Amino acid sequence: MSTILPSASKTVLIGRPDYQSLLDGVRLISLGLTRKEDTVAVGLKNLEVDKNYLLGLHCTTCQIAFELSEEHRAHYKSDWHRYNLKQKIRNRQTIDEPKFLALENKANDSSSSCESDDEINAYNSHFSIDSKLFFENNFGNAFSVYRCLLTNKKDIPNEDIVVNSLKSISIKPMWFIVMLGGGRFSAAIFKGEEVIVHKTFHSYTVRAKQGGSQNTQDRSKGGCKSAGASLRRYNEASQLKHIQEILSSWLHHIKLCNHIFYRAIGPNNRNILFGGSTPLINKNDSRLCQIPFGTKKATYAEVQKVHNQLSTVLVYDSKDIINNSIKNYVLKLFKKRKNTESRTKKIVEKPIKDIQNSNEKMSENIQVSSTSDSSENDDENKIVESPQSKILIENNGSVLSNDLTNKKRKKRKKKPKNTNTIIVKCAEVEEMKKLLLQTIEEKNSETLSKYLSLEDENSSITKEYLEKSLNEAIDESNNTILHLASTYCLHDHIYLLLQHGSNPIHKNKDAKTPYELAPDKSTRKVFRKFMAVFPDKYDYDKSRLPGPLTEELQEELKERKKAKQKRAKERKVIEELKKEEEIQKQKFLQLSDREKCAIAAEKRFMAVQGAFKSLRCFYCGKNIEEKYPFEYMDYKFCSVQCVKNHRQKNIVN
Amino acid sequence: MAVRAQFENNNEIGVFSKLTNSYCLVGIGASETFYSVFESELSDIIPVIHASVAGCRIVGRMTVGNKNGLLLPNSTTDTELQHIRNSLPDNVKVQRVEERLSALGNVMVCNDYVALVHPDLDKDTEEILSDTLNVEVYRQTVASNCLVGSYCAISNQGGLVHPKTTVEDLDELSGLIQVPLVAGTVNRGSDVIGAGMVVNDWCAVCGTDTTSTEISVIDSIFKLDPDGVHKMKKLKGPLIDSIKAS
Repeated sequence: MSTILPSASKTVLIGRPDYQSLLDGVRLISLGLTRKEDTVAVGLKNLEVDKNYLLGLHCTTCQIAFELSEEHRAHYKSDWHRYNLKQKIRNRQTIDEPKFLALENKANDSSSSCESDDEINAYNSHFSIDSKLFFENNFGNAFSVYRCLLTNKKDIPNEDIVVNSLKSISIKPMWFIVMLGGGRFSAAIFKGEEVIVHKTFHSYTVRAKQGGSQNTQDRSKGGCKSAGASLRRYNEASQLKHIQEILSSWLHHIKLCNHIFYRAIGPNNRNILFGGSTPLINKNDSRLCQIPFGTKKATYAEVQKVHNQLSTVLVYDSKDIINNSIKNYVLKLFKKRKNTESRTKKIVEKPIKDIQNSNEKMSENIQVSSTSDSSENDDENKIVESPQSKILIENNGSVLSNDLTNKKRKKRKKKPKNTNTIIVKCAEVEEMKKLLLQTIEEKNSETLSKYLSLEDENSSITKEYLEKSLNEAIDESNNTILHLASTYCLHDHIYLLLQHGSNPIHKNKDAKTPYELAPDKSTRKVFRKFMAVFPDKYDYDKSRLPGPLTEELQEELKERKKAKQKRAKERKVIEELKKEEEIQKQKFLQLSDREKCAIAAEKRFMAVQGAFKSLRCFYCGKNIEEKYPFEYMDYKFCSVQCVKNHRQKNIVN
Repeated sequence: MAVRAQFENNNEIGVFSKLTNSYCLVGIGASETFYSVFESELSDIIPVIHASVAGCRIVGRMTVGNKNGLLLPNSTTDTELQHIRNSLPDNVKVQRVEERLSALGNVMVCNDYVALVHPDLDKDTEEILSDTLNVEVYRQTVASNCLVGSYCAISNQGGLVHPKTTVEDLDELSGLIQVPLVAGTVNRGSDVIGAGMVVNDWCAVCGTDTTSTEISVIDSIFKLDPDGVHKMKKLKGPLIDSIKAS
């Protein structure tokens, strides 16, 4: 948001003697406006009509006369003449020499091509709305100063504090300006207008033609192995090191500075200044503030420009000039807002018309409201608008209830931000809240049900107030009564509260609904059971309830649980059997081959007799009674591998 | 006095010929009439050469030169270059230049000391020009026209420029070139002076359409008849005498 103020009658630099004279009886007038810098159009010099001119010693293109023929001739070789000549051919305005030199310097400073003067002026004339503070003094002058010089807070500043700090700006304030971005670094420490130290350098870190730092690219897409990538990676590291060295060598100067202005866009750049184990600049430094206007590439010239801009106080002839522009500005803002608002209203209007053609009166009402309200301010609009929409909803029934909830939600969101007038605090509601809290503390559901059913004749609480007290935040972390009941696992409380209109949709400060706060399953089940009974009472999706817990569901769950237990038992039996087998196996393996043979013989003998006992592999102890075993020298095995291994072992022995 | 001539029924003499103080180039035409005009005027003093540039007869517009040298565009073939080199006096330097604006005669105009050039001309070309022709080079326009070669003709004696040149510009230009200048036309009101005529220090050739007023302007500004005034003076006495007598 920007606007243009009338041009200042003069400019004063902070710290100059004339600055002090401005401060006589200084008062704050209005906040946050923008200005147009005094742009004195440097017109072309009029031709000097002298004898040289008549002698033909002049250049009509550059509008300049010469005394000597040599000068005249030399002029035609100059770049200035050449530039003007080309301008003239292209039917553009020619420029005078100082301007051309300035242009040339700029072209030399930055690698990019030079811009036209118009662009530069446009750049100077727009400022962010809140960047300036306006004052008037006893001489009737009005002047503007950058807000960041006086206060580092963004809210509406206290006049006394601001005026004090305005007066306390010393004759030669020390400022540290640092700019960082796109691989460029430029920083300088100024004392008054004098530069104490400055450093500017540029390293190749930005990816050519694609933009963005190598660091970001690496993080998003993984490291690239190209030569350029590694070059940039190296440069990034070296830039960081370089900056650290520079700033640490300036540390004694920086300590003395009154203000630190910085421009570091993006996390990478900010990390260089404020990140790391030992940050170069403390992020919470009260002197620290961002440069309050747009800047260009970080070059020394730009830093100087920033300094000049910050230290310029624009003096206006009278307060009225500024007041008028404020009015215009506010009007402009208003028109913008009006446009956007009427647009949104039209969108709301459409469905209404479609659904209820008969109820034309109502839609007319809305149109009236949308046109008449526009001249008033934003907050008023809201207030006027809400009763209208309520009437509509009553007439149109459930079809429009969505609109209502939308609006309600919007309203609710805005509540904390908006003024206190919207929230009507009622003593009775507070009373009720206290009582409810008490029941929670006592864990007494009977008293709660008494309060909720409004049986107590003494209290004058109506149903409306009751609902309000149930749904409003009860403590400082924005918990409702239902949140508390849920955290303390008070099942009866929860059910009762839900029954009496305590909406489970509300979120506390941590954005948790009551359901999410429930510490155990049984508490959560209470919510779900309630959901099963009253499936339409609340918006359960928003309350983050997974689903209703009906009787059937409960039965099903039980059955499932039983089946699970059964399966677990079976598994246990099998495991035990396996374990026994393993033990047997180990025992068998520990026996010597002779004993194994004996056992085998015994088994064979028993098999003849009809009794059945397992036969095992001599090497791995596996049960091999069903298979035909591999055999050598009466030894029996499960596989060829086991035979081989057994033989090798015996050979070694 | 300026000579009237025609190149195959065309009055644009400056297009088909190039006249300097040390040589004259004439485009290869169908008839020899055009050539013979030059030959009759100049042949005993300077060489008159039949030439073409890149196969074209418009030698006047394609080349620029003075008594010190001659610049040819890049499109000139080797044989043409060789022919021109052979025909020209030895002290005349011939140089081929690489220049985007290849009609060198249109974008440059020079006498033996000064050259005016198109503002967009290459810096390299400018350097070659000043080296080869021994001239001071100035980037300038004539009556807000970049094609300085087309719209003016200059010699060491004077110059004729585009009729719409302002008095200021005339002053400026003459201050620059250090010769008197006049705004005028050739070929019955044609403003393309450079294309309409050729001139050196003692001789000028213009189209047959050129009126006698134009001729007289040309004669006076280029000082082509130093004895022309003299002749009048000579005649004056007897004439007045005869008037008196009668």
